Amino acid sequence: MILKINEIEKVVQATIMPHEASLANADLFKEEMITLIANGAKLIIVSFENVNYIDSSFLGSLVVALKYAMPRNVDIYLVSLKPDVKNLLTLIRMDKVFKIFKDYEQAMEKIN
Amino acid sequence: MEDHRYQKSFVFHNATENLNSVLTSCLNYIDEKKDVLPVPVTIHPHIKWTITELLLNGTKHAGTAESNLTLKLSAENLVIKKEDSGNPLRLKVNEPSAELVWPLRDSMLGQEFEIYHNGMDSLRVFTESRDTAIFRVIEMEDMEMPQLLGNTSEHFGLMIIAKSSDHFSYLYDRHNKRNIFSVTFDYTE
Repeated sequence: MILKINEIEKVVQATIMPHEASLANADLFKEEMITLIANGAKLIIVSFENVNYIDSSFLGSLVVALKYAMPRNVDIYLVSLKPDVKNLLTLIRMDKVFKIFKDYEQAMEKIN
Repeated sequence: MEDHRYQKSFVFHNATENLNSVLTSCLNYIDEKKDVLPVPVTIHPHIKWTITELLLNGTKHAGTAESNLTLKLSAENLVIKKEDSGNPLRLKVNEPSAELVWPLRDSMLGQEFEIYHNGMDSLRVFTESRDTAIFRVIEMEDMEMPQLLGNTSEHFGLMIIAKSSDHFSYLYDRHNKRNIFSVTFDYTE
């Protein structure tokens, strides 16, 4: 498991535990996200609070998870991105397809 | 002629577990030289992303045991070269639709192909000669929606390098059967 999960009424807080979000754990992340969606989550808030480093493989898994989520009416929010991580997402325009918030609290305000 | 007085090579054993140590060594080398040849701090993240993606490319596609990464520092620029003796570059391109395999056929020369676009940026490759490729990104106009989700993500790495750097090219050295990716960061402007 690379995600630490806290679920309340189909809203899942999923914290990525490794410091490196990379090819080494990209497939596992994708599988865990798809399992959460398949198990009935309506919103997954993915926290990058521990992630110092991300590569294109992990970004690819994020996109696959979103492509799986969208037709099932599941939202994926990203929170607590460190500047380098957020800047890389912005560089390849992923900030245009993911909803990004400062932290869990700000993301929860959006849905309340 | 550029004076690359400072250069250092690193061996990468094309395995993900070695990636971070090579990356750290490269960044440490740049840091060690900061008093004589300072690389602007603003491009440090771009260098980090580029090295990561070059090494990742070796892990995923080279099909060989190791790659060599060389950093060349001058007062004007930083040049990063990644070399391996693995499979030559092979790209599926969209516009016009084709599969490019280096060394290229004559009919593929002197053209620019779109590799992929996300609705806002178009990643392109120019086939300058039989053995070379030049990558660049063009911002697209009049696109209403980012089409990131409509395209495959296998080219994120090339997109990251092309957008992070000032010049990004590939050379297939037929004589030595070597793949050479070259990335330049200019910082004189």
